[in-house]
Amino acid sequence: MRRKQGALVPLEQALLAVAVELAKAGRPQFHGFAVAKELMEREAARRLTAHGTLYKALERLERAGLLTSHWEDPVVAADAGRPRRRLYQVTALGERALARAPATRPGQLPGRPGIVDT
Amino acid sequence: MRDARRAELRSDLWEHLQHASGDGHGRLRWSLQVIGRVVRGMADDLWWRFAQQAAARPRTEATERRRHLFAWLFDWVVSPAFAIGVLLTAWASTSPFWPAGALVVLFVALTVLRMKLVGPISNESAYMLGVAPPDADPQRLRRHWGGLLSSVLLLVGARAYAAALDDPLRDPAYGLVHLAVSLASLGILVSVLMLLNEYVRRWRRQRRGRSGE
Repeated sequence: MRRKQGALVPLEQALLAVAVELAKAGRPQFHGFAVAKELMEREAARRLTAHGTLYKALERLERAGLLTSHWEDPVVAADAGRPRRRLYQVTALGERALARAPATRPGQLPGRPGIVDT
Repeated sequence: MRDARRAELRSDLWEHLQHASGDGHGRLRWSLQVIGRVVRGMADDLWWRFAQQAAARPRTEATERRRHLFAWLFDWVVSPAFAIGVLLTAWASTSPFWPAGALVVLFVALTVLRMKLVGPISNESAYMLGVAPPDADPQRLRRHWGGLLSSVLLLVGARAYAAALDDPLRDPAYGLVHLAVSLASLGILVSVLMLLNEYVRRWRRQRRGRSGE
């Protein structure tokens, strides 16, 4: 059974929610590991989202126009002594899609029914 | 695209290592976490790659027709035949593990081939054998219960008819009754397995939710 066109699966909804909240907290750009860590902490999960699952979801969101991404400047990465990050940012369309997504209980994160954000 | 994915994974691993070091976790724990993330994401990664490959392949009318035919044959002939074959082998064979296991391995290999040629797959038999994506489908449970109910009704009807026969073994309809009983039994077995599979999946989802509270 294929999912409904335009519908967000729970992980995508959770990723968008994290992206929007990061943007509100003054961190509009994030990389894959950062959002995985954020998801794990907020959902009190014991494990980080798997690579394949995470990047596939981010790619789907980007293809749908809900996120944009760009590779950071190689000079910045070299100065920091680390590999280049791919930085994602939620779009206005992404914010609207999240607002339209099925409502969750106050404090409850999308994608994990029954989990309350503390 | 593959290079971009690799670069992104390289960056992710580096960030993960920094995070683990900052938290005072040893390298062993980091390695285990990374292995866990790789293994858990493998199916999604393969799915993604096959979908990309299928989308990138040039499409003409003839290739599209072949693609649809292959998908139809796989979804409605090959994969139900394998599912039934696995069940029958496990049910009827005296040493069911090896033949049933070999059938499952062969089915997974065919599924990979199918995904490479056509793209992601989703059908009931594949769900049952655990090689279809685990996206929730609220209608699935209803269909499984419907399958179980109709199989039970067929079984009850066939048994009742057989009981009404004076001499079942000599009655020309007995062969049909026997076939109906066999089909109904198989239907019940398949439906119960699918229902169990669905309920276990839902239970796991709930448990994951509760463990986070």
